[in-house]
Amino acid sequence: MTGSPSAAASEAPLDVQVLQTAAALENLAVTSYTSAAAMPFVVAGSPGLRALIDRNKAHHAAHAQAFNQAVAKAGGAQQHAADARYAASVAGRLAAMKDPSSLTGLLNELEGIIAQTCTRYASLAAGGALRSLFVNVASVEAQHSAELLIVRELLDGGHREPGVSAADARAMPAAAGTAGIPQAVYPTAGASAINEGVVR
Amino acid sequence: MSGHSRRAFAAGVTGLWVGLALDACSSSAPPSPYTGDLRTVALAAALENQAVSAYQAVDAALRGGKLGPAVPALAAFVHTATAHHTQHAATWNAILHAARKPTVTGTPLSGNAQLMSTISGASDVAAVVSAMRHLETQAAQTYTAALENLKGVGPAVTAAATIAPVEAMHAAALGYVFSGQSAVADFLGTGGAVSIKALTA
Repeated sequence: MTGSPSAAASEAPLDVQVLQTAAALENLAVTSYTSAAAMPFVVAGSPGLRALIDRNKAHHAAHAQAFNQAVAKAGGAQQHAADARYAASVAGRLAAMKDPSSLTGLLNELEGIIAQTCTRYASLAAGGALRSLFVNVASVEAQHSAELLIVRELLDGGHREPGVSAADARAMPAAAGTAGIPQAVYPTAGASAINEGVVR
Repeated sequence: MSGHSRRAFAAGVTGLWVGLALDACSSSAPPSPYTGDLRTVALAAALENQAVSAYQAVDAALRGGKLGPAVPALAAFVHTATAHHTQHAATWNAILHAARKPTVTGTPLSGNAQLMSTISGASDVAAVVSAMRHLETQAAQTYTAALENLKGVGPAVTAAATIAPVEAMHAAALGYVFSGQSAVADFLGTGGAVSIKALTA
């Protein structure tokens, strides 16, 4: 799931295009997390993973609302549909999902696309408030990624979830300490094109 | 954005802006070589140097057994995070250097002594993790707030945009792995952003 930003010709101002695309990606995340929450191995599985899925879904709904409020303020139409570029392929992969490790892998891919897109758009947006909003959201998606990467690392290694005691912290494998912080500079190569999610 | 988050976000940005204005009116301190956007860049370089120093202190505490028996995941985290912050400091200092300003090599921050005292006084993993989570969140929020006020679209904007999410990931990973609890909020916010007044250079 990769893409690259491009300055495609459009009637809409740049800020409207990037906000609509960001909202479309957030809508995709909401539908994906909704599907994930209903999967049998999630329903019957770890309470910790269920909590992350429910919490992340709520965050993405809040982000979609924030982007749609900003796009309305900028004079554009709100985007309530899921990103068309990824919607079908993600739905297909979710339908075939059989285990928590693969699921966290897919959800992490989604978080990465949104975070990279918001990071990239922060450098494109003209106003300071919009730049700040994009990085505010990008940072939260990056945090979701960090936790999903850690969960997957522990699942794949056969380790139990982190606990609250000092003994629990000492029991964590070294790999869990670095799984959630894979890069020094947040990438943008996987950002969506600016007009990918525009309202047509 | 929830009402609370939106208010906290606005308050943080406003606070940073007021800090800039007050600093510009101050005449008691010696003149700083950094003005405008470059003062924000210098603050960022100082914060990164501070993070490197703090993690080096944690590493020493871990190696010396001051925090109890070995914590392999924390040792690995500290090693990687130190490398990240070293790279971030170089990024911010490269912007200063390109603008023919002195690079920031130390930790000219008003809160540095208190932070280092907190780390050196910590005797358990939880206390250290709490201090480092605060440091990482503060850095991420500072860069997010700075994006509100930086002029134009230059290297400082790109640096803030690509470094803030990494600091946020550091904070999230520390919280999740070492306390077993996720503290990720719906928005990062800027309420804990470091004021430009904290820069003493």
